Amino acid sequence: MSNQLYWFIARASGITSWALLTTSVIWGLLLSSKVLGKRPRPNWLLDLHRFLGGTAAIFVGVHVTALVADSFVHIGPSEILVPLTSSYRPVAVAWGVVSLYLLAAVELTSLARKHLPKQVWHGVHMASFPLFAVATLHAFTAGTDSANVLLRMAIVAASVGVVGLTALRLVQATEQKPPRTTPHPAPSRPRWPEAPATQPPTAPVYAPPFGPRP
Amino acid sequence: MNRSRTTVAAAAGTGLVVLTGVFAITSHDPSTAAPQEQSHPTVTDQPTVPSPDQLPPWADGHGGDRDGGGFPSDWPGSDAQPGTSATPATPGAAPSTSSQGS
Repeated sequence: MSNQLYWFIARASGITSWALLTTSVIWGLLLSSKVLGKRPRPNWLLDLHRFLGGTAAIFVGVHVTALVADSFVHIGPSEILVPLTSSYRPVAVAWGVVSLYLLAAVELTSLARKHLPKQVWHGVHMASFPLFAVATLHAFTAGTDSANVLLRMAIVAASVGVVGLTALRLVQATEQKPPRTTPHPAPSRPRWPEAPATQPPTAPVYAPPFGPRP
Repeated sequence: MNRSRTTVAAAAGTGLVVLTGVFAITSHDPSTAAPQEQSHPTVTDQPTVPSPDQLPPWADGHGGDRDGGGFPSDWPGSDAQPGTSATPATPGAAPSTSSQGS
């Protein structure tokens, strides 16, 4: 059992990191779509969203380290960094390599958000959606436990949740976007009668509350 | 916020430990074994080599020396009685001389 311990840790950390990543994506969608209203404070949602993403990255690190240390699957640094170089299910492992790069990009740009233009951060952050898709594909094809009924049910439920919230967010974004051309001119504001010309305001004269008035 | 973070970290750590334990316990199951173990499939239904007694008389490559030298009953010029089989039903067994027609 001891010689397979790294393999067990690799499988467990892979599933755990996928769950954390999925929760982080759902948390981010809940935050941006404002589905929950103001009862859970946005700051709390944002903080937990960031923490979930960071924890997912840590567990992906555990996953990769355990795979390298494992002797059952011969995966080294080159197989982890270069897609399609693994002898064990090369295409399925390649999805994991791609998701590793996407996760690194999203996490690093989020950490450096204050130093980046908002459009750059937002553009890279949108890679979270392909990241979720590729990571799910990796879990579904490369994992030894892909045939597990519980894992399959979790993958289906998470996918439905992410797709549903994404669709809701897209609808919200479409509705909030102002039309570029207005077919009818906007009604003009009622015009008040012109006020008589007044002199420019002068500095108020200081009047002490007590004492003789000037 | 700190409590939420602690909850998430504890849940993730517990999940990692529990899953590792479950995998270790169920490691005897071939469906969840390591991939190398799966890459070498265990052949359980190997084709059994028939023993010489189970071979048909013509399968030994010597023109059927085990047939006792007899001819089929319907062979022209056979000295066997019609309806009798000169070839034993099973190699090594006594030739059947019972009449099939009577």
